[in-house]
Amino acid sequence: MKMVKGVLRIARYFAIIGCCALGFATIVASGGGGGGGEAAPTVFISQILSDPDTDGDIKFTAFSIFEISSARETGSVLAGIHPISGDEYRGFLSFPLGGPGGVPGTAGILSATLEISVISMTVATPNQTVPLLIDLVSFPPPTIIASDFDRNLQPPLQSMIFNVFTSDTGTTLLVDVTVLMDEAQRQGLADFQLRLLLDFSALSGLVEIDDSISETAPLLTVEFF
Amino acid sequence: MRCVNKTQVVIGTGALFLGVLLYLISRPVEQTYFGSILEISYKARHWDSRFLNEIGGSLPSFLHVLAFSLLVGGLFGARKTGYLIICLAWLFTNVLFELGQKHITTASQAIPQSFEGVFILENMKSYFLKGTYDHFDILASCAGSAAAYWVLLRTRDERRG
Repeated sequence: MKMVKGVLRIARYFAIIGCCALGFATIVASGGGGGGGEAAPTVFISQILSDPDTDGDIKFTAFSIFEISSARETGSVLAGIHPISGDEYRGFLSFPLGGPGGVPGTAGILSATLEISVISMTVATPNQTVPLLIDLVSFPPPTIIASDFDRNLQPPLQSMIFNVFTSDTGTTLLVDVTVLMDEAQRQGLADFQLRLLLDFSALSGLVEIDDSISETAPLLTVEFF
Repeated sequence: MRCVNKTQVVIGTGALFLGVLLYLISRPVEQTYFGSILEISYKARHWDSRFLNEIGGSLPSFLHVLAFSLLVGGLFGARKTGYLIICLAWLFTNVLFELGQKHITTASQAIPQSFEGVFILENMKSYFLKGTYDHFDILASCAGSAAAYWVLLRTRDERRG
């Protein structure tokens, strides 16, 4: 009798757990779940390659000289501070949002991911992490100018940090830039333009991003509705 | 732990069946994971009436909280406080999922990658992305929770199990 009671008790626990699981399952499996009769939005995905004519970097040398390089000519974009020379590079990437395959101005952003391939890294010590600051900026294309380097003259509209590890060399990184894309959309920017620089928490570290061929050039993937 | 309260379980099961039935007749099959996995071939029988669309919007939220609060409450055989916790827990769960449809990016990013390919759980991202937030669903869930608590109190069994 005691054993039967024990079995029943266990069965009851299982029934409670099963009931909770069924409760969760019915919510998730109900698909659109609720909705008040409104139609669910259709989700679109846009993949936009950066514009190599606008992409580039600005080097600020120890002698206070600005040197501008175009990704069209160099095939890469540099961001960070060279550990030996002390030269600082700030990289710029520009993604046109207009036109076919772009992101409509009225679209709601679900997610935005930046895909970049790291060609090389120059660091002071092995296994160093290079924290990069990504600023959302709005500089008028077609080319970057020296004043775009300055965060006071070209203030960031939104910023975020992401870390690049020395082990990332030769790999493709995925960076969640939804917060930046949200802001770009909110401000109605025609281009999604980014400035990449070494975060102020680090002393040195230089990252070279591939911007040569379309297969490895910076790619922005936006999910929107 | 007290005895299983059969009345509560029966009412809960009834509410659950009603909710499922309402869902099946008021929602196009292709909009639900249920439909896609079962490949239910009753598209022609989807009742596109205005009445069903209206009540079909928020009534499932009401019935969901009501049904599962009663089922768990009935199986658990809890006291007043226990009933309250159960009702609030289901309300919290439903509200959380509904809010996930409003804050789509945050919700979909919080879903672990490991859910991909797992039965039912694989639909979670789609639930947030394709679902539409409706504050009436929140209200319906609150009403369902209150109704469940009331039914649980009215039908509670004081005997010890």
